[in-house]
Amino acid sequence: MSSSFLNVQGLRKSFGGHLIVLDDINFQMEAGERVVVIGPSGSGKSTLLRCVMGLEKIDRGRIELEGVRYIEANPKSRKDNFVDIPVRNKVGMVFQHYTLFPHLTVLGNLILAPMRARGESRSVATERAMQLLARLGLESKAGAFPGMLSGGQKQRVAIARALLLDPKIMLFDEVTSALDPELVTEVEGVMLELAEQKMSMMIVTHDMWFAKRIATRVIFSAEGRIIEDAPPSKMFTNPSEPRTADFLKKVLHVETIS
Amino acid sequence: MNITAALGFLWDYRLALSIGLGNTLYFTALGLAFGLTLGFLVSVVRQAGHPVLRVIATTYVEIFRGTPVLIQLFWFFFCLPAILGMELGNVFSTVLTLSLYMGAISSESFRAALKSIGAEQRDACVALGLPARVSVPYVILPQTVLRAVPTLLSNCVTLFKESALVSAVGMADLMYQGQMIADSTARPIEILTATALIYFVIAFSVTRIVSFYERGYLARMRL
Repeated sequence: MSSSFLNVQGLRKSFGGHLIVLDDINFQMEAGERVVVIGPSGSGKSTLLRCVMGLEKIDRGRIELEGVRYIEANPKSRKDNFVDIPVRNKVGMVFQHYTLFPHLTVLGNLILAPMRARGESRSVATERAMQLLARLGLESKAGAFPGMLSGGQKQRVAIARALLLDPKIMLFDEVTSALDPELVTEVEGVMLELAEQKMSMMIVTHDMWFAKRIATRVIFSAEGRIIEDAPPSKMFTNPSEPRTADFLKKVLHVETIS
Repeated sequence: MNITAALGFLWDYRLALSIGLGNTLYFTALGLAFGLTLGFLVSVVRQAGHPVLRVIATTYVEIFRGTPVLIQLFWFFFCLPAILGMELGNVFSTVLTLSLYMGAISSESFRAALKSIGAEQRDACVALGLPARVSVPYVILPQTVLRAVPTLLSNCVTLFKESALVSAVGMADLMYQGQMIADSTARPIEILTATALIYFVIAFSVTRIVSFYERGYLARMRL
């Protein structure tokens, strides 16, 4: 048992047993840390987040939150994982494509899980939801269906929906990648606000400027492995690994021209 | 043929036709209620159930989709009671056949709609900690139904029309009454045309009304 807040040990994930996406990942983070994972496409960044959320079956390894194992591979069967659902439910996640429920209003999206899965009364759940929506400037959208919202609004609703469950840690998987450039800041603004409140976060993003701004730690991953793990000040100015430097040179260069 | 005379003739048989229509609507309504429920459950089993259950569900769907309803009716009216050695009751056999047939054809519509609900919605359910008892009725079912409405609607109309086959096993539905009147009066043209018109008017209006609401609702949600 480790005393780390989030502890990923010996994690290996493959698709169909052959295509190895994550290979022997060992990773710890403390509460209040904001870890940004960067790396080339196909390096397994999103898969790592999905494994921590329990969305992917893992081949090997275990994941602990606050010292409690909640996901563990079964050495005998790749398809069968141990999952402690109450602990896993302390992890919240926001996805690239919002994944709001299109048939429910904004408020309906927010209160579904508190009411139906956690037994909160409608009035309590609604009150908490409205407070949170007000904080995010979305009060007036409570009765709207997701299809009527802009991408930025949808993503803020998705963040609110996850936050309403009081997660211990929030995972953000390329949450601004599908947004028009002018809508990115409103979503990043919400994330920076969460950072001020010391929310523990794991973030996958292609936006290096945002990574630099929000991260307390940056992980560079490539080909399913963690290549470098450093504070942003070091990662972005003086990376130790040549592959990290190479990657940063490419993405930062592209970003300056475009 | 004199139209007024024909209408007058039909008017004389309005009671018999109404009784038949009542029975048709009764059989259809029960067949739809049980059949749609069964169809949804079967589609979920085929998508996510245990492999053994999946094989059973698929076999059931293929048998009922691939055989004539008339033979299914005969089977449940005469063969099944003989095998079980007990009377099932005519209404029970009728509703059972129609439900099983509806279950088979609607499960295909539900299945296509279920597939179109992406893995992302399921991911969201896991990330929000929704157990199946919440995600199925509150997330998956409503979206599946909404997406399946156009094809389900045609399934429902199919069942309504196919229910005319129960007349062949002596159930007094609209078709049966029409045939009886036609036989006893020897005026099949008027009576069978009128019977067809009744089927048509009901199927057509229901289709129109549902499509109208569906369009408004779906547009609002941009599913």
